[in-house]
Amino acid sequence: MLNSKKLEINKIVFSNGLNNCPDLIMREFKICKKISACLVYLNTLVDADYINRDIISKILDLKDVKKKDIFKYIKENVISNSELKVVELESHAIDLILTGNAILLIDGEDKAIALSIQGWKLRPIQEPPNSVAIKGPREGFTEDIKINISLLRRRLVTPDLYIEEKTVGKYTKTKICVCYINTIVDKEIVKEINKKLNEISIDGIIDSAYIQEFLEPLNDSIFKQSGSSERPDVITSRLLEGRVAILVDGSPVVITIPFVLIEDFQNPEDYYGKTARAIFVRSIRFIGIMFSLFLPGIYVSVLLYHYRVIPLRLLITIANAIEGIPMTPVIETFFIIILFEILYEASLRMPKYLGMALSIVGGIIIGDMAIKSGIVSPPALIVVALSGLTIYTAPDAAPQLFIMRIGFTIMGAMLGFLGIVLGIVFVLARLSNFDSYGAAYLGPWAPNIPSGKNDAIVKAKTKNMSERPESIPNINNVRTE
Amino acid sequence: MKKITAGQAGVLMFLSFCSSKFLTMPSAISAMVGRDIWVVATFAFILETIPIYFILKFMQKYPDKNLKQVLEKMTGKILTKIIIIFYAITFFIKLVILSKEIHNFLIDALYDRVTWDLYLIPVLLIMGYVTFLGLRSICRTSQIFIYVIVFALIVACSIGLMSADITNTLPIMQNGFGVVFHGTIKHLFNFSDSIILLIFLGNVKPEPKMAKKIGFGIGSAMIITIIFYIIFNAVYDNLSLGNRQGIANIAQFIPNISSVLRLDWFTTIIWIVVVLLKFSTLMYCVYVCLLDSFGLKNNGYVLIGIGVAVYLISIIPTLNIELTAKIFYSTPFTIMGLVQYVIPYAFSIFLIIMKKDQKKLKRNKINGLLISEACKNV
Repeated sequence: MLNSKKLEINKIVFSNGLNNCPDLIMREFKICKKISACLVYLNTLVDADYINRDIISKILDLKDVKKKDIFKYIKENVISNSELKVVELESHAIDLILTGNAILLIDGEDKAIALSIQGWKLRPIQEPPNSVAIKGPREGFTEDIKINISLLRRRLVTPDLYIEEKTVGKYTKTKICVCYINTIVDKEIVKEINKKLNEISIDGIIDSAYIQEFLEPLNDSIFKQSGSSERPDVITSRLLEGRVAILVDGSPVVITIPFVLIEDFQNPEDYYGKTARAIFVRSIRFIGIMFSLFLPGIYVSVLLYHYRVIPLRLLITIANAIEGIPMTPVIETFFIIILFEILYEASLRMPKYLGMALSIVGGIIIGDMAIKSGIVSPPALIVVALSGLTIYTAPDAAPQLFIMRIGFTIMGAMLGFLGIVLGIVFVLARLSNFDSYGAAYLGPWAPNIPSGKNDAIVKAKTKNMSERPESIPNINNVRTE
Repeated sequence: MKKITAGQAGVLMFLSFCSSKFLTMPSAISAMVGRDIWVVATFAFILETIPIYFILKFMQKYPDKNLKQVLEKMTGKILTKIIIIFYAITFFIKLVILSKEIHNFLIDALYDRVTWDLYLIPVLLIMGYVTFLGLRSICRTSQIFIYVIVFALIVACSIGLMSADITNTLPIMQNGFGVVFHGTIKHLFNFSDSIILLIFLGNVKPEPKMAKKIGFGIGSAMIITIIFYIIFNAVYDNLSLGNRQGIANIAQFIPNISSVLRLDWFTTIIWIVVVLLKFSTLMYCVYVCLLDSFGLKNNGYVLIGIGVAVYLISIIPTLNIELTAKIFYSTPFTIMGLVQYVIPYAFSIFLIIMKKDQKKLKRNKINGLLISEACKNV
């Protein structure tokens, strides 16, 4: 029940509850010229036209309704809002006002009517800038959770798409939706995710990345433990593989769990073109990642320990190139890596109109002059530039690849090839021991899951992928009947 | 403990079998038997097949029983402790030898100079960590590398074949059977990687084709080793003795493209992975044996102890390759090589006893049922 049946008292309660904020509107009027009522809302969150046109004017038009029937009459006959709710607690009503609802208070009633009339500006559905596809759908998620759910619903026309809603964040009260296909997903995963979400105690959730941290089992790992995408088609396909999607209001990035490493090698376009092309591109991506990880380390260890590995003519060319360089190969390589990263970081943050200038400064002046002045050698620059570029063949994995690249370079500098091999064994052993919500992180390779290999480096034709990948736990393995 | 699959066990056995056999062994065997390296390997593998058969049979029949449980049932608690400590020592010696072999391999094939005192520290730290993660982690890591390793083996063998002269392997047993037999017995300790299977007891998820899958891994390793030895002999003939790093040496025989690319580096780097994986497997075996013999649960300090012991023994300056070889071919080691097979052979007897016990139990049950039926009727 509301604090009082008296409108004046309720008004004071709401006004205090919302700290008399400047955008708080309490529009008072009389129903049937005798019953006092008040519509409470925040004018920054609601659609003012809708209030005037479909609420206030309709209520003011009422005639000859008895006072005792007025609440029921308005609820059933006057307001056409599809998301109308009856609210009995002030705290709940205040939460609703803060999320773009208007509350109708009527004198003599200990209940109120809440009307969902959000009216803020939304970004239209656009193609996500970080995951552009030449072929395939061009829709991307937006910051509005309702639109995002509708994008999923339009693709998954089934009552089996379950959506569980939660609110997280003491101050932000962020809406979170846990989505899954009930007849495919392993319920243990849903249970575990819900448990973790319920345990979250934080003042605010600004983006889905906040939630990601709470859901990832290993907090100290540099490796991603949950997938993410801004594309509804990608999220739909992941739901169909038995994953759970977590949508966060205010974020266009949707999280998926469980995550396996192979996801970073996959690109939506692989599925919209010819299979042979997909296999080729994935192989290139794989080779690119190998280049990005190991090239600087191999370069350093070859120059320091294993120069015999290089065929003689190439060795002479490299020797001529590095002659007179003041830095050792290790320092030189690290210098260029850091320089490359600074340029990359600056180009990301710099205003667009300065971008061109930066590429001239970075690419031509710094690169060219550094070589001409003999500060760095061309082979080192080629190696680091190639490794820096190839990192972005798998853009989602770029942050961890960058850290690992530095690690392998250090190992190579310290121990040569043995160091790099030790580093690889260490990373793989650590990753292979890790299961993300029951899914082996390095599946389908370790453990060996034959059905998962249909969509690993080699991709089978879609019609031949008759089973869901076993790498992701699910309760319904059959894809095509 | 998280169990491994039969496929994973097979892969790990494949790597464990291949690893050190492709390094100094062909050259060392050649020093004893001349061109009959592959014949020695064949005999050693035949000898090894019988215990492997018994262990696999036992594993298939009693997938939940680990080595300690089996030994306690077979021999009692005190003898079990002694046997497990014996195996711990055996694995530990294998581990130290492998550490020495890695050192030599690095010097011969990759580096001009290796300060093993320093290099061994990161090796022990990382492989100790991998061991601490458990058998499942070692197996999964092996699974990732298996395709590249098999590819490297095929590359090495193919390169060798390009310069092989098969007549170099003939006539077979030129110096008589005695020499080959002596060579086989002397190298039994180095061949006996099948005892790693004992540690897998109780750790493999039961499945219908368990024994076949593990057996396939071991069988393939045996065949590929024999093929490699034949090629090695066919390539080097009398020079086998001087080519101490089989896999690295054989891959240097590539006549036309060495000015563009040297494939021996590829096989050498891959082989570092293989020996490192075997290193952590042996470390795990020592670790498990020590835990079992002292009744401990997972304990990182035990691993640190093993690491320190390996380190201290490995860096003894007087323990050079010649001395290691001398110790290695001494009579106690030959006896040790034979004794480690005693338990797997005893498994056959134990299997028969267990079978009899089960029959007895079944008969007693039937008799009991009959008596109770009769009592009811009365």
